[in-house]
Amino acid sequence: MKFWSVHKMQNFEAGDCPGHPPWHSGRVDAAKQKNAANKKEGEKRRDVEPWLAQDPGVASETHRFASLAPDEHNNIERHHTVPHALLHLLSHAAERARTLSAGPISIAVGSAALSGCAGVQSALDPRGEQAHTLAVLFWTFTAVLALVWFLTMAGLIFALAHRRNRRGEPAQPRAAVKRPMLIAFCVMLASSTIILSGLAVLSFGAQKAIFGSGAGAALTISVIGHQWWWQVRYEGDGGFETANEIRIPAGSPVDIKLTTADVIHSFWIPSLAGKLDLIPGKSNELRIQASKPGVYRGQCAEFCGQQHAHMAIFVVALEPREFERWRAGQAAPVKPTAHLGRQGVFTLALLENAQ
Amino acid sequence: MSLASEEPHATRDSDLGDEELRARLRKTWGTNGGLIGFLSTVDHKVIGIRYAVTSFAFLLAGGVLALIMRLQLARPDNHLVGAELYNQLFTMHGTTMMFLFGVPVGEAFAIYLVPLMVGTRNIAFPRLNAFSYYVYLFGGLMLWGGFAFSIRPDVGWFSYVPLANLDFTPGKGPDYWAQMITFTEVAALAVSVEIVVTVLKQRAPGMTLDRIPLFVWTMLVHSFIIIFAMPAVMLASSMLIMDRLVTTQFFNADAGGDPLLWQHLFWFFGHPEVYIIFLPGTAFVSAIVATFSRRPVFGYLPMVLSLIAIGFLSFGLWVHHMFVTGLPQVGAAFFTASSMAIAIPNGVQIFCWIATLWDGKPVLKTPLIFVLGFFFIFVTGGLSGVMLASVPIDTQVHDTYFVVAHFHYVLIGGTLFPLVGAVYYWFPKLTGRLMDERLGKWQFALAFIGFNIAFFPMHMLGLLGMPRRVYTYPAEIGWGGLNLLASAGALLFFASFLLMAYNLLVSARKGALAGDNPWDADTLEWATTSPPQPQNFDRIPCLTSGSPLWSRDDDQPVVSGLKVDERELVVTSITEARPDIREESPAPSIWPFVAALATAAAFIGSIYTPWAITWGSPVVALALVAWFWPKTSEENA
Ligand code: HEM
Ligand SMILES: [Cu+2]
Ligand SMILES: [Cu+2]
Repeated sequence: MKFWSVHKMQNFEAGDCPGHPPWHSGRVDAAKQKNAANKKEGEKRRDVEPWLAQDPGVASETHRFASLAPDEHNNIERHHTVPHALLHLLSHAAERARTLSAGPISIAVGSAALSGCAGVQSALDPRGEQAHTLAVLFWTFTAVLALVWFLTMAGLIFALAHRRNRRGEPAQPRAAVKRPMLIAFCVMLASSTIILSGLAVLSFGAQKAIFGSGAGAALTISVIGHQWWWQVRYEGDGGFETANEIRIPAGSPVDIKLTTADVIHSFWIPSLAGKLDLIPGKSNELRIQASKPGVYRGQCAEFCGQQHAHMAIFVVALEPREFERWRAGQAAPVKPTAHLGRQGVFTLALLENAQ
Repeated sequence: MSLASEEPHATRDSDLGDEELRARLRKTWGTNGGLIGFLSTVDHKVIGIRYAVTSFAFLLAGGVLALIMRLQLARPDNHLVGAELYNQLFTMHGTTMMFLFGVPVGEAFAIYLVPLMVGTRNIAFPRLNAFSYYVYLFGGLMLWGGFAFSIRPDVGWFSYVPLANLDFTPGKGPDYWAQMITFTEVAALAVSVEIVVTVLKQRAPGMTLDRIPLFVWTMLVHSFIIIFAMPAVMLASSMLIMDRLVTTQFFNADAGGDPLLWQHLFWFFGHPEVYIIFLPGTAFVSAIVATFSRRPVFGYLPMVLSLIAIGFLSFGLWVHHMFVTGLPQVGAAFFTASSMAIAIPNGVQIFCWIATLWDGKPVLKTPLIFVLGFFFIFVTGGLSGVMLASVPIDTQVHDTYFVVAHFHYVLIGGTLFPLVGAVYYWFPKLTGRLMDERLGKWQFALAFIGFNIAFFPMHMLGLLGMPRRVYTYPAEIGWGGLNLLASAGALLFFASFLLMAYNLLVSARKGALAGDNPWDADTLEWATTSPPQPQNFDRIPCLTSGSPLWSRDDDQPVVSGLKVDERELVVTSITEARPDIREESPAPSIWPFVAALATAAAFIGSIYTPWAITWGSPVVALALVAWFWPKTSEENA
């Protein structure tokens, strides 16, 4: 039983979006990261700025800003399915109306804004096994519960319609308990117990499928939460670090080890899997898997202070061979790149935005 | 001396005719004029109305904050309010709605109505009742006063540690937040004890357990939930203050503490809290459905049993707020089952109400219309709750706008809609005048449409990946349209409350006269004048059936032999409500107010120095001594 169809995948290879800077997830200097942990509120933004600007790998939030390519039909086509397409069309239309009234410049920006290059971020748009199982479960619950809702409302409306009191009749203090009502009561009690038990069993099944500890994945990546960025550590010899961006090979499971350097955060890439918290003094593990190459956006889902809204992260799934090539390349020291200046500008835009 | 009360010249109600009896009782039970009289009153009706007015003021204030948030979110990358202010806004909104509106507004109706419905002259421990109101008021003023002077909590209504620790949130905001909890909890615990004792010991003779109105049963269960749930959060908030003030390390993982301890303690209170807010809503629904269906609620016994079941089960669900903290899967699965189980007693209640409408002959007046809105919205919220009970589904929607939609559906649908119905329903009792029906129906239309436009799209936003508590979002991500829609709906919804305020003001002065029982309802509050006399009833009724007013017994038996010049109550037995003893009810006193002032000073001072507790305690103790000072026989005479 399938309530949606799998979408035609867009290829999110770096070169695909015109104007998209090639990925640079360089090594993050440990000293630079320390800056981010600076606690003083006012200083925080200023501190973050220089190191973000210097290190292109850290500024991967720039995916958002890099996506100024008009790519609109593409975006609509991505949502073939009824529920999801409906949602997007809705927001699309309203967005359109808003940008139209804001003048020609913002039309250009506004329509470009919906480009798929920003990365997918939707629980209804599953691109990995876990998210897929979750979406099936979600739609099953929705269908069953919608039915319950309609039955209840139908009962209510019939109850009102069938015998209205227009003439102010006196009340009956001792209303007899009628047999049909007793039967209806028993039916209601039995059916709600059965429905809820059924749903609980489905839920347990999905829980087992998703969290049932199979063998460890071939690749384990550590993610360390900071106010307000993500430190990503590839362990092993030739280990290296990136920030706000995780590259994984498409098609195979990856374990993400979650810890935090300060407060509680929550790691969530809706198109790939459910969320899991990063809690001080505790280490959690989440499995993710992307079926195809692409960019999947996520953001911190546990309120973690002032700039919680800007704590985004991107999972970039690559063809396995390309992933290996990239990984091998990371062992070498990062050279400054031609895109540096440009990313600095994007970062500034981001920071202004944040204020 | 006790002999004085046995003197033959003590006038009793059996000695007097109706007119004179009323006049003398008014004098005995009345509230004095002047500022001192105003602050000394122990009349449960006066205090109930103060509770109600204060909590509605907080509803309005919280609503204004919500509107500002919705304006900020109406467009992507908006600059109306910055991150800092937004975080303060949602914290103040959530805190105000949960602690300064949601809990006290239920107390308000309980304080006003329960003594009337059980047929007694005042609530049990009336001075404690006065004290509780002042404590609540001071707690609310402290939080909002701090807000005005830029001491603003900004870590959300559940203040998760370590974010709320001193390291990450230096200012005084979280301290004010935590201390406000202490205030409201003291108030709520006091009121709960009063309600429990009033219901168990002061029912009119003949009101056996199976004749207690469902409204009163609900408030009884509600009070028991408060008594068992609130200590957990008082403990938690005190530990937080101590962590912040005297560096205990309860929640600091580095020093061997545990941040999850906070979550367990908070949600052990926090889930029952949802029912603390919701149960008064069901009390209103039971009263309104019965009156306007023209028959008692179908299935009295299943209704009472479901209430008690909800009371117990509500304590076994708290972990569903922690499904994504990485708890062991089997443990989490247990809480899936328990969370789904509570849907069954809730379903029983819904069924019984609908069956009542079915078998009765419903009259579609404004109160009932709001209750119909309740069915529509609350059932939606309840069913999305079943989704959240599933661990896997929760990993997707937890802490997203889906949850924001869900809890507004249950809180607003479950509490606010019945509450507005209740205001229309009991306003004539409070003021003697009816509210305007036409405006009422307009208000409903606005509220119902506005609410659904505001909150339904949030389900979708959550599924599209929008986390809660974000002050803005990028345009590229495509949430702009639905957010704009939600903000427009919020404006409509808010407007419906302005219409209500207008209706209240106009109707209070010009509304049609109501008479004692405008809806031809069945419970005892309608057996007295509108508004009720200070003594509630000139003669205490005796019940011969569960339908005191509908059974239309012309010779309704009454209690006789109570003294007229003293505040005497009938105390009855717990199960059968047999008259037991006559008991004197405390007279007005200024000391509860003074004690509340001293308590408030100690609590607020303790935010700055632990010594405030040391210096505050003797002052509070002195006020208490004066409060409990035994009466001399001259006063008694
Ligand atoms: C005027 C109608 C209302 C509107 C427009 C509204 C809107 C909102 C918004 C925009 C948020 C913030 C969501 C976020 O950023 O995460 C919120 C949070 C919240 N609301 Fe409301 N709300 C309304 C009424 C209520 C009522 C009546 C209650 C309770 C009885 C309530 C309880 C809460 C709570 C507990 C939160 C969570 C605060 C937190 O995250 O710490 N709201 N509401
Ligand atoms: Cu966060
Ligand atoms: Cu809960």
